[in-house]
Amino acid sequence: MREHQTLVSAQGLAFSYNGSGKAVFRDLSVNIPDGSITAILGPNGSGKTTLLHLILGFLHPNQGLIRLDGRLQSHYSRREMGRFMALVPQNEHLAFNLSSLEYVLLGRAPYLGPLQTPTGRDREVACAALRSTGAEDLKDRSLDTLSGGEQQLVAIARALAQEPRLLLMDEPTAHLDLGNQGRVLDVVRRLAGEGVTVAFTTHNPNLAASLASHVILISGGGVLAADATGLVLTEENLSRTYGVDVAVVQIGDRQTIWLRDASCVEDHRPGAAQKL
Amino acid sequence: MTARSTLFVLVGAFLVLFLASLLLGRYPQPYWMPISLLIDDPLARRLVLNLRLPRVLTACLLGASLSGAGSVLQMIFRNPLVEPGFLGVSQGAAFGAAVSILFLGGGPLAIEATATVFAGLGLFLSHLLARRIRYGGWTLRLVLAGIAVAALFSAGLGLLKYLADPLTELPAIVFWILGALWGITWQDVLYIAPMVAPALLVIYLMRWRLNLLSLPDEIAFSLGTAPGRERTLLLGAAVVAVAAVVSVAGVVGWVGLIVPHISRRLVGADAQGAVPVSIVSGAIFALACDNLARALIAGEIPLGILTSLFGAGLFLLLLTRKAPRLG
Amino acid sequence: MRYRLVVTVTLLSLALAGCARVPLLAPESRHGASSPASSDTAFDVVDARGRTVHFEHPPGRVLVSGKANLMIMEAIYLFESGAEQVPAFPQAGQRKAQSKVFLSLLDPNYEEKPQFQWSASGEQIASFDPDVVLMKSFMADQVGRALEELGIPVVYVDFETPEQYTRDLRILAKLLDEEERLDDILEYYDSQQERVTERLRDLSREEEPRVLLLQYSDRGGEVAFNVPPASWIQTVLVERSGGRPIWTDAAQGGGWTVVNFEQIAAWNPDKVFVVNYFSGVDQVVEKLREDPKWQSLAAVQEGELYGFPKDFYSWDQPDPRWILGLTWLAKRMHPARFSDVDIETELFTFFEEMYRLEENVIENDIVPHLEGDWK
Repeated sequence: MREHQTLVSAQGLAFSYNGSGKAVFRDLSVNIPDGSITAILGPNGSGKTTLLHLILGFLHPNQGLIRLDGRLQSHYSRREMGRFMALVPQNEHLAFNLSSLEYVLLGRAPYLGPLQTPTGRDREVACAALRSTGAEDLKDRSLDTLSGGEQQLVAIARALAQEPRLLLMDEPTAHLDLGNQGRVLDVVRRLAGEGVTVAFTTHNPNLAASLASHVILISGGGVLAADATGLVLTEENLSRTYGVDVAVVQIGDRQTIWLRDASCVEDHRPGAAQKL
Repeated sequence: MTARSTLFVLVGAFLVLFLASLLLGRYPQPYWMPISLLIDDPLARRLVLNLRLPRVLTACLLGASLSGAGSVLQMIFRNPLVEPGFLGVSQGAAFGAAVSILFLGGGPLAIEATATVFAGLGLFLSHLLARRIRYGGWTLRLVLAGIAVAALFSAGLGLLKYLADPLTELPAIVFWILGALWGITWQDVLYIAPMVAPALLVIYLMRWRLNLLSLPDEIAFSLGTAPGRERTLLLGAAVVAVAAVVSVAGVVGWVGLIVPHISRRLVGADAQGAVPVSIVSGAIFALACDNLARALIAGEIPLGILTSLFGAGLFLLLLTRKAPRLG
Repeated sequence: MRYRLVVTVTLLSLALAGCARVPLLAPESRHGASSPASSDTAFDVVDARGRTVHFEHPPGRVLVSGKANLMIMEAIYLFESGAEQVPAFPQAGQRKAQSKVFLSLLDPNYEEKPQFQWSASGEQIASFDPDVVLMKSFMADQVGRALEELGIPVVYVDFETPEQYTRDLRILAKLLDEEERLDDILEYYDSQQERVTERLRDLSREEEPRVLLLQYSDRGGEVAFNVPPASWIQTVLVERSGGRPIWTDAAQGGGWTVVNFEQIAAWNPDKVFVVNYFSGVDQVVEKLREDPKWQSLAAVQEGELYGFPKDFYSWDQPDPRWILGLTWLAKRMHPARFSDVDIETELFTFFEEMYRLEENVIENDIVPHLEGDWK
């Protein structure tokens, strides 16, 4: 079933936005292991979202190659890429108001030709996707009546309707309260258990610590470290990345990350008590 | 599904209206013609078959095209305030048709070709200018740019009319700017049908994709669409349909704005349901207005006046009744 | 599969367009048998747009419609059978009240005949069951096409210039079957024109006064002065009466063009003629004579500001009265050469010969309406 250990491999990526002159990456190489939950961690503005878009194929690198499941990204057709990976963006602004089910149904697009409309089977897949995120009650509610957390769950359902092998998520728990964060984390863990590879960006090391099996630490336009979570989240790495004094404390089998100067790093792990 | 049943009801209403329109007019007396006349009076037969039928068909195609195009424009530009008349498409088509009549001999195919070219140009310019305006949100920018481009083409049309031989070369300016179906014959119907029918069919078949194309670009991309190509195809279909009807009927405004709005209110914003409802409702709306235009008084009221009256009126009503949730 | 559907629909529509000229009903003539013209009374008419219209016999019901229908109506009544053959009256745009009274002088059955809007659509016109419909050329798109589809013959006329007058009168004569009367009418018009041309034959360029003809309008409260284009009859009349029109540069567009006083002063004309269609021309001229701005003009100081005469209609328009306008203008331009011409006499002659009105009718019903510097 798993032919390659690495699901996504990017080599020698160089990228800058047109007209800005400033390079986001100069020579970036990353691997995302198959079946992992990989966190792409780094400070704000380090190019995490850009990297996601490069993997997605939405942006093209100035130099370098990207391979998906061993095959060059450029050899995939659009529809094949849509079936391979799905994106859950940070936030979406919809100009027109669909119901949750109609919105999730959009995820079936990679399986339909330009002149086709969704079939009954597509509808079933969409409903199943809503169920798996626990949002089936929201089926007929229109999107603008949903809370932020509910919208996020519906967005994930849409991505799941694509039946992807790789789920890309951009800051998945930003703006969510504790309860919703918990739900999202449960969904991600369950998906990983079913064999879906997940790659998410975050600027919060504690999220990486609690959720990810692998971490890619990005700083200064390059990769600082990329390995299993425990090996990457060290005090030295994090202090260098964020430019502040960071303490890493092992609690059980997980790390928690603190700022060394008495104030706390926000901890969003479910069930965690507020630390002072 | 409610959308489907709504559509059935509308199609039924449309058929009834269509048949009734054939018996409505000013001959032999104002408003209704008794059906028996069709058997007895050859002039009545001729009138219904050669005059009313093509005109009624054109009104339906006009309404369907403008609303279909309106739906497409609104979803692709993620802007509920646009329609072909607001983005310079209709005015560009009118200008192109006038140019063709004056300088290119004015055969129907030439007219439709130049109308399509200039209509596309109008759309392209509106979009290009909107990106350069540094004021306001996207909705506002697009509408501002569109109004400016529309005004430019209207002024160009006025200039052409001023310079042309007033008696024979160009139809009255009133015809172009207010729109009218008073000169429609079978020839017109058969010339615009090959443009309108495939265009509307493409729009109908791709209606679900419109949902996708109204998503932000990276999402649409991640769903395996080629947003650029599909948008071009849909916009192209919209432009072709609008150019065809404008070249025979002048600029008829407000249909493309209000009918998609009402359709979304009826069946929701999902384009799969809203687009067919929009197309059929557009045909009904335009047909009803044209019936009034030709039968209400002895003379002809330009069609655009009636569509503006009812269209703008309905629009104001909609805006003031519900909070500005334009979806 | 769906791609094929799109392609099929496209091809079908194109095929339909291929048979664009689908005659659902054979365009047979509505009058008499459709056998090829072998009857004696059949004739063809070539109208102002160059179309040849075929008639099996002269049409009985002649209907006039469309914009500016007045000119056509008045031309029809130059002929004797006008009164019989006009079944209904289009309401004129200009001065409806006046038109009613004049036409009632010409047509004894005026009160009984129905009236309809000049802007009537094809269907509306059809309900009057006409045998032919006369309209100005520019009505072709709006109404003409519809009538043609119904098989109702349409003949377009212009009546805009003296040459068109002759041509279009011939068309009317054919339709009304009054060739002899046509000769009388044309003889009158020709002789009147010839008198003017004869007496001006040796006119030198210096003797031509520099002329400005203005239409005054104050519709909607806005006072405006307009000049006509070079091709219109007003300009032609000025030229033929031995004047030099100095405004033609300003009127490049197709219709009346507004000019402001500054321009008028810059032109500094020798003679100024003021036309007013919609209200009294005498008051307007009076007002201008008292206006200090206008008093600075040489033409006003020398008393060369004239109100163009009108009875029911102004004499400058492409209406049969234009011939009176020509004579009057020539007299104003070159009084010495036309000193023996008395406008009042000309007026009586015109209405007697052209409209067959009796002297006392002219005296009582037309003369009171006279305005402008006609004497």
